[in-house]
Amino acid sequence: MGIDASCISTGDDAVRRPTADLSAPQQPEVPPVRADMRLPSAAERIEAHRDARLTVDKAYAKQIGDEISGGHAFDKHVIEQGEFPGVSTRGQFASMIEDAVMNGESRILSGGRTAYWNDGTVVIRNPGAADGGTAFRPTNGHDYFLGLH
Amino acid sequence: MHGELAQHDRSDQIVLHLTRAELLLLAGSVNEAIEAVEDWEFSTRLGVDKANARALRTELGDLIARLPPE
Repeated sequence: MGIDASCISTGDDAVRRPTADLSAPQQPEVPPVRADMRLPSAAERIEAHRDARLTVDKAYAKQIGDEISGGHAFDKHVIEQGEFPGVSTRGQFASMIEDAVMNGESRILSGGRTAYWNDGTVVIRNPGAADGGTAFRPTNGHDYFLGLH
Repeated sequence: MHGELAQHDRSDQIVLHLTRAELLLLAGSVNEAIEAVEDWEFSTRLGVDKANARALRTELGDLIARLPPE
């Protein structure tokens, strides 16, 4: 059921009087852009910070994946030793490394290195090495990862 | 084996007390690492250059050579 406001009588002539000839009430003009502006809420700021951090982390993981997969680790651990069944290209190897960096357990090692463990894969990031690090599947699994210092 | 660490000691010198068997294991481990890990991957996996590992192998070897016969 709708209500037509024009049918409602208030008993006040001023209300029913046409207003087209009257000057509009003086309202300060607000620029459209400014009208849309408001301070973000705390939750929005946290989410924006989280999104920005995630973007940075993904870029960092991609850089590590690209560097390591482009080096000796692919030839040794993927091709020669067949440690990664189902992985046959450097791109696939890079994705696996990125996944370990983004989602794996991490440990800070000596000499500026960082190690990552993800589902049997160890990634060691070494900014001081020409290849940027290495990635492989140790036979001793997580114990090997914990033995890194 | 046990090591002696002075509290808050930040020096590079750490005193280790090893049995003969432990010393042989340590020297053998360094030797095997040098043999097994390729040059390009050595500093990434071990945290030191292979040259440093070779120097340590030499020092450990000299120490073992000076041990009295069992």
